[in-house]
Amino acid sequence: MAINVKLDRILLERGMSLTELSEKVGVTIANLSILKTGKAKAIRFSTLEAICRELDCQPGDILSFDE
Amino acid sequence: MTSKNRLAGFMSVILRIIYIISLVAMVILGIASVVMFFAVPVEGILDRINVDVDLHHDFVMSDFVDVAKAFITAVMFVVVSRCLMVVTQTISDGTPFEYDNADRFGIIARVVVYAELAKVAIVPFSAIVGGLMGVEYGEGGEISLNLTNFLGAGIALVLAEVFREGARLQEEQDLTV
Repeated sequence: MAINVKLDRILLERGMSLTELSEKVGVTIANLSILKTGKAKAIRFSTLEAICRELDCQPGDILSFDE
Repeated sequence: MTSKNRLAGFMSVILRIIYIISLVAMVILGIASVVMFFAVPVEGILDRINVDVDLHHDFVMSDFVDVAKAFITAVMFVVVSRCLMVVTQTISDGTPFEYDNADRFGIIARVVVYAELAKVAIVPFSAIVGGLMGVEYGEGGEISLNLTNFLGAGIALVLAEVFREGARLQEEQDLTV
């Protein structure tokens, strides 16, 4: 897939676990794992907004496009 | 239990009954077809070589054709009811949009078309075999095309595509975070 999810790196930088993020954004760990492993086919704006708010970052910090 | 599940459960029971009846009919008609297929030509051969054996039957090839057509219909019912039983089960479970269900509707469409074509092909086949064995074809057992079944096959094909698209959307939905 050309869209890369860099959730791993951001979580590491913020020192936050996936479980913590899951509790804060109200998305299940299973769904966050799907996102983290790049298996997700789509992401809702509401989810992206919640993640960005909790991790204090921009959507571009989480998602990137590779040729 | 929701009304949708109740309906699916009711349909499942009906389909199970149809499946069992069709299965029994398929076995009986299958045996009858095989027996008649061999009995008619054997009688013809015996007649030709002037062996007078009273086989206590008076079959002609058209009788075999009628029984064989009924057998093909029974096979079609067995496959279709079996597939629909599984589809209604998935509806009951709340997961109807699966690629397997799309494949099942594809199978239904193919079986219906093949069954209709087989019912057409059995007529000239039997006439040729009857001619070779020197037995009369008899009245009845004509070629007939059931256009309603072809229409049903077409609907099943459309449903197959609908379920395939539904399964794709379901997959996308499941992988949306």
